[in-house]
Amino acid sequence: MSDKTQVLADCQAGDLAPRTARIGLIVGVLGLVFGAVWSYLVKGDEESRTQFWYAYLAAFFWALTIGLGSMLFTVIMHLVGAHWSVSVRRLAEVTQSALPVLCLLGLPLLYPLLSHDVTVWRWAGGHEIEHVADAAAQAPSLGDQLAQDEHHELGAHKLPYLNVTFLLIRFAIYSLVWWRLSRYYLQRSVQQDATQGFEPTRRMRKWSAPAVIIFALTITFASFDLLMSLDETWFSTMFGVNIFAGAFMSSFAWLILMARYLQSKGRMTQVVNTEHYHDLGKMMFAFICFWAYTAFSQFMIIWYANMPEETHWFQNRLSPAWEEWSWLVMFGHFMLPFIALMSRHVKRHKQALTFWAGYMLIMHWVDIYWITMPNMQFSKTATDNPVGPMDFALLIGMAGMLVWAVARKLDRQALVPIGDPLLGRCLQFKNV
Amino acid sequence: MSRTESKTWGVMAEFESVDGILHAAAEVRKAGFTRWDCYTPVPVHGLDEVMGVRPTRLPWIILIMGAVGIGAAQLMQHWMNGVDYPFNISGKPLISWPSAIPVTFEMMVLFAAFTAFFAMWIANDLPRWFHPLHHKPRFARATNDRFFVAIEARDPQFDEQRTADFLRGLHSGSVETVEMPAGSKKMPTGLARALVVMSCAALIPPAMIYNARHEPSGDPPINLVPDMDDQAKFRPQGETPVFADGRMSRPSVEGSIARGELREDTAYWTGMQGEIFIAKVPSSVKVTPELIDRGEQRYGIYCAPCHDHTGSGNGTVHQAAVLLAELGKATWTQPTSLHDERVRGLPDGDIYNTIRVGKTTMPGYGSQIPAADRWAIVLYVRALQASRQQ
Repeated sequence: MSDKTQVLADCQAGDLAPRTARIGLIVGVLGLVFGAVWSYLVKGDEESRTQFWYAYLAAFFWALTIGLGSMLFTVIMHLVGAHWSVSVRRLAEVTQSALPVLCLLGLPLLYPLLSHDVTVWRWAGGHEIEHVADAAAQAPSLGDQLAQDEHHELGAHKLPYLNVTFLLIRFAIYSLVWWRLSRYYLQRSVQQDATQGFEPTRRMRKWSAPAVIIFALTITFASFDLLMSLDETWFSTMFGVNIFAGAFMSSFAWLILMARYLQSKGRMTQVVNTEHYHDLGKMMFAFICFWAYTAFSQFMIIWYANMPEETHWFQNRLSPAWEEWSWLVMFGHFMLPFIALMSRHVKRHKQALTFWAGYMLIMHWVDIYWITMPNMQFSKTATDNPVGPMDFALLIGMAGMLVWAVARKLDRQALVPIGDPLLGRCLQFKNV
Repeated sequence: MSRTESKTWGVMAEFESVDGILHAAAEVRKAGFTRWDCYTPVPVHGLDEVMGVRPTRLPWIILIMGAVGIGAAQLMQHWMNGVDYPFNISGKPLISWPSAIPVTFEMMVLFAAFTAFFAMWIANDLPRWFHPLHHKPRFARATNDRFFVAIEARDPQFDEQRTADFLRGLHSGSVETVEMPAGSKKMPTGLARALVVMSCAALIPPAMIYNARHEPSGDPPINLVPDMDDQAKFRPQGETPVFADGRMSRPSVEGSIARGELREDTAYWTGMQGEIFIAKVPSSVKVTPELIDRGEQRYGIYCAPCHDHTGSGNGTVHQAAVLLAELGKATWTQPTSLHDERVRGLPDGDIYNTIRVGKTTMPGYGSQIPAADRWAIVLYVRALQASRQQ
């Protein structure tokens, strides 16, 4: 690069950041408020109110995994010493710095956790267990009685782990760890903008290996605690890996969209080129495949072993109400993008790649929704799927909150790690 | 061996730098040559575009063959499991795509990888025994630090003198005419003969193995590591001169009982008092809710596949076997319904005995289910029957 200062002149977000944050906040608040009004005031029945909290959980976890995936992006790129990704790494660093805000967005979930108005986690509140025992005694039929007995027994067995106090302690620990890690990696990188040396890179690399292990443990247990425990009788050791695959995949989709948005506004036009998009596309494609691998492994082992304590989770999702959604997950999250993104021409075509990145972010929500919502016990055993405007409003609202949380941090530093010694190699990088 | 006249293969020009070769390639292409190529020691970015090399069609071929692999794997498994050799495994469906996915994945990769490998060879004219450029000593530096452009004589625009001048005009380090070396393009006769001899020799071991299958031999087997075969021990059914009756196996001493085999409580062990089945579980069995729970669990493992979790006799094994029987691949009798009037009237001892030794087409489960669990299952069967009592 002949004139570095000229190249880096457009690497500041400037007043674009507050403008974007304002739009995000408006969309976010409108979406969330619409969802709440729709389910609490327009509909108002207990089922709609319960569904609101399930949908909120799905949308919240969707945004959280994008933040977590971006943090893993930063850490992994240091771990492997990659140079191709340097010019987009700051975008991931900014996204991960939104994690504390994202964790705070989980606070409303205290309401279903603590109140007795709606039931999302059936184990929440130890009193539930005794209730179940009483209900079992008065159950109308032997079958119901046996089912409730079993629930009671398994629930009671897991009570030392699955109780509200311990869950809050664990979630506080996850949040603190994520906050600390995301802060460390952003601050060192920003510090390097000024000092220009290799020393910060060396230190960030040193911590990257333990950071990856900590990340793996926290995202696995967070997904166990919030999503898998929605059905406290069910268990799958593949669950955390599957969530991680989806999270990492969506972080690439998010970075593609973020870079494209900033470039369309005339920022960082010189430092992110087709080669970088191509690589982000390749990684997104790879983790679409890895997601499918984990999702199918989980399905096939349970399907083949055919054990009643495991199969009911999938049986529920293959019931008339959810069967089509399950096919949507399989085709929409894997087969269609697998075929579409296979060609290098698609990954190097900016408009096409942008479309598929946005599509994959929506599909990630479809996946999380598919994991979350079928756990709710709908009063009608009807064949219709419960998805409605409220669910989409919450998704859009949470997306707005995510944009707000990220954009408000955008102008605090350059959009590119201008002090990273590997930046030069990143800019000259070419896919053969 | 036919010797041909030495004739011109083409003209070769040497360049010292990447920029030189890029410029030369652009000029050669502009001049309209079609039969030419560049030779570089390292991959040169952008050279393909400058030369106007068409994007390879290899990915499409690999994609198609990968899809063929998917189809072949699914068809193969459906035919094997569902048509050619249907086999009833715990009543699982004969044809089901999820269980076929791992093999399908492997076959897709296999087909695609082999296609990539061999199509690459074919597309690059490999294996190739010979190339005229290799006879130029200067060309050896193409693997080290020099870049070459060579225009072949079969190019329609080729003219030895004019083409050489054209290349010289591109600031080439040196331009040389490349002759087709004297000699044949065929494989050297010596090599061809050696290959024939080796191919024949390779047939000898399989021929020997084939022969050994038909010719019995009196020779002792060749034993490289004899320790495992010749052990100083008695084998069941073996012969020995040590004992008077010549048998290795010794009968147990009259009246001796093996440890844990003392079965004085015949009602408990056989379900019979004398020749008659006992009506109720023996008094030595303590009937508790825990024991019935144990019976339910064991029933779920050993009995439910055929008799169904409700005892109706419609278990998954039965359902799959009915399908096989319809195909004419098996004969099948439906397992007895445990709610049958006849079964309800049986004494407990009879049900116990059936679990132990079997009855009609049902095999005995005595070797798999210990006595205490058999009584637990009897109790659970009674509980199942009670659930249907009006």
